[in-house]
Amino acid sequence: MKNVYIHINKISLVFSMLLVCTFAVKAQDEKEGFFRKHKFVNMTEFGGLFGRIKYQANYYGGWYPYPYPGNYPDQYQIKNKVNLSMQTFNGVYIDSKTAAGITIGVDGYGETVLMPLALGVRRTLLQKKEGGSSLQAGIDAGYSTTWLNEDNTGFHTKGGLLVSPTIGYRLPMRNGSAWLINIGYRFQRAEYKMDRNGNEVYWTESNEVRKYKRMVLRLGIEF
Amino acid sequence: MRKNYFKLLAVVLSLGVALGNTSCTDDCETTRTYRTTSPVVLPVEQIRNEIASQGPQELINLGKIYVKDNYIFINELKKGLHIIDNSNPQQPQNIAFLKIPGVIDMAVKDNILYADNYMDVVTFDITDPKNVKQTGRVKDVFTYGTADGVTWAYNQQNQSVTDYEAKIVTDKVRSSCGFEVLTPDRIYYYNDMAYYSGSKGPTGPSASGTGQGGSMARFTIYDDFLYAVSQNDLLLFNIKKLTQPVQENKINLGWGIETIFPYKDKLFIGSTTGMYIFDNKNPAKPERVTMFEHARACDPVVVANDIAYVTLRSGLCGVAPNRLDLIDVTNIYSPRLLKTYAMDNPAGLGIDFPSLFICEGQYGLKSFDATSSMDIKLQQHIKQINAFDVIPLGGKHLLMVGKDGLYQYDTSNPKDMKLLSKISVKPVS
Repeated sequence: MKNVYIHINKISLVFSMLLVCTFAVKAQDEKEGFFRKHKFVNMTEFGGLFGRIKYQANYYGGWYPYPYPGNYPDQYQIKNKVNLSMQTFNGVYIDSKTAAGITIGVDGYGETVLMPLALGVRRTLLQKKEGGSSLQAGIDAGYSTTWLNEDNTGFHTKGGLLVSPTIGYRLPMRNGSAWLINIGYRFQRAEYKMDRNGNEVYWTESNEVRKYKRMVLRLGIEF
Repeated sequence: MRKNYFKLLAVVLSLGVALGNTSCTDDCETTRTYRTTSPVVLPVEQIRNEIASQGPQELINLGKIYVKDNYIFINELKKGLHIIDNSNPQQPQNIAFLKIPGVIDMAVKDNILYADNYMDVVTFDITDPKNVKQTGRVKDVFTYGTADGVTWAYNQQNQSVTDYEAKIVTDKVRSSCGFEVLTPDRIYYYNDMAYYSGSKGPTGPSASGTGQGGSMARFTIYDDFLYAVSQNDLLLFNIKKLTQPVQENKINLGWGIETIFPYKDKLFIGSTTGMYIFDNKNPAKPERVTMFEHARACDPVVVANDIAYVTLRSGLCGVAPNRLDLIDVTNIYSPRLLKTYAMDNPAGLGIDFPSLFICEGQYGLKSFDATSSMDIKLQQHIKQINAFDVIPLGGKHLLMVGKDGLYQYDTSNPKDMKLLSKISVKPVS
């Protein structure tokens, strides 16, 4: 029952955030006050997180009576990983070139799903012609929550810092929207804790500190 | 416009540097903490020579307890025996430490203490507990033994004992961020008939001159005989000459033997799968009468008024449900189960009829009214203590040991037991 409540909470939170955005859009439509001066902007992007993992392959359990280190040389294995990332940036133009707002995302790292909440800034660096394509830089910094994550029994995931600088193109369409192509870096921290298991004689517990370091490539739309 | 280009260059450069410094390889580090065992090889001479009578030492890692008159002997697992002067239960005094490598069990008759010394049985004169003297030794009795889940083995050819010492290790591993599931090898070195050393209960009324041990005891004295159970044998020692036991008989019992409990002229032997009953009319030649089987579990037994009280507990020994079984043993040829009561995690138990005391591990100590075996009533539940073993010392006094200390209670009112004293134990993880 408790789980259901948590889910309702999570979902309602996402909805309320969307509602806030809708209000913002509505306010913009009415062209009153703040939003007359500062135009609302939404940038929704989908993309991939490209990177690799490097891990020790000779990994012995806590029950092993001759525990390394020492007895065995460490052997590492490398694997490429691509994971899915999506995010939506909702903000306002604070001057003609700079937009600031809130970024909500979903990043899947295998079974671990992180939902970052961040503050974001987008700035046009270079535009040759008024209304034409531009080079745009962006940065998001915040905290990755685990609200959308489910854990295996006996394990607990904790979120952490998110920092993601990007650079890319903004390609305007005729209707006033724009295509976005962004490439950048994405750093996310998380922790994965395993409760103690075993018996009174042989037990083990662990905590994994995860620093995801990925190249991010995203495609999206701005309106 | 020049200024803008310059700015752009700066941003691109700094991004490039950031990317270069921080590669696109996930950096995950797992810190593992685990308890494991590592082997220690002890030469036989060292085991035999290291026995010493020493001054009092701090209590740590307690094993079984044994009571004789005003003295309490507390086993510090495989290290030695703490001797407590309990003339005044309100102020017990830790007076001495007897160092015996490999000691797990002990029994006392008159002023002679019998203890195991890994593979040997050793006798001591304890007339002066502060200056205990070794008086005799029976060599090469046991070939292996188990305590605290760890089994040691004796190699007679090499004249050495291989024991395992537990340790807690913390290390760091570069891991796969959850992308690769690596199942590490799990190697168990102990056999699973292991029992938890802290789990004991009391014996019935003690025979003249001998002390009181626990229901998890492997040593017991009856008449002129010392009975010791190993993992699969019942060993008999003649102790007519107290100081030097003579090994007389060896009865094979099968597998998973845990405890021995004398009651009237019978011996109750607990194994992980059941309870053997031996007729002991002739103490020199006990005869197996019957076996009462139960699910695999740790099973301390006490007997009173022809009713055997058996607690079954899940844990190192098995997976049976946590419960208390009452077995009618009036007719030892056909014991029958009377009733079963659900428990939390029962370990040692003790009976001082009609009061029944059950240690529930982390759930505390319970006192029951066992006047009617079909309807046992809970009288008091002391929580917030860790209880593993209890020994009722005749009537109004109870000795209880847990992970954090040795407690003594006044039980003149079993509904409202009063704490008399507590000796703290140095905690070990």
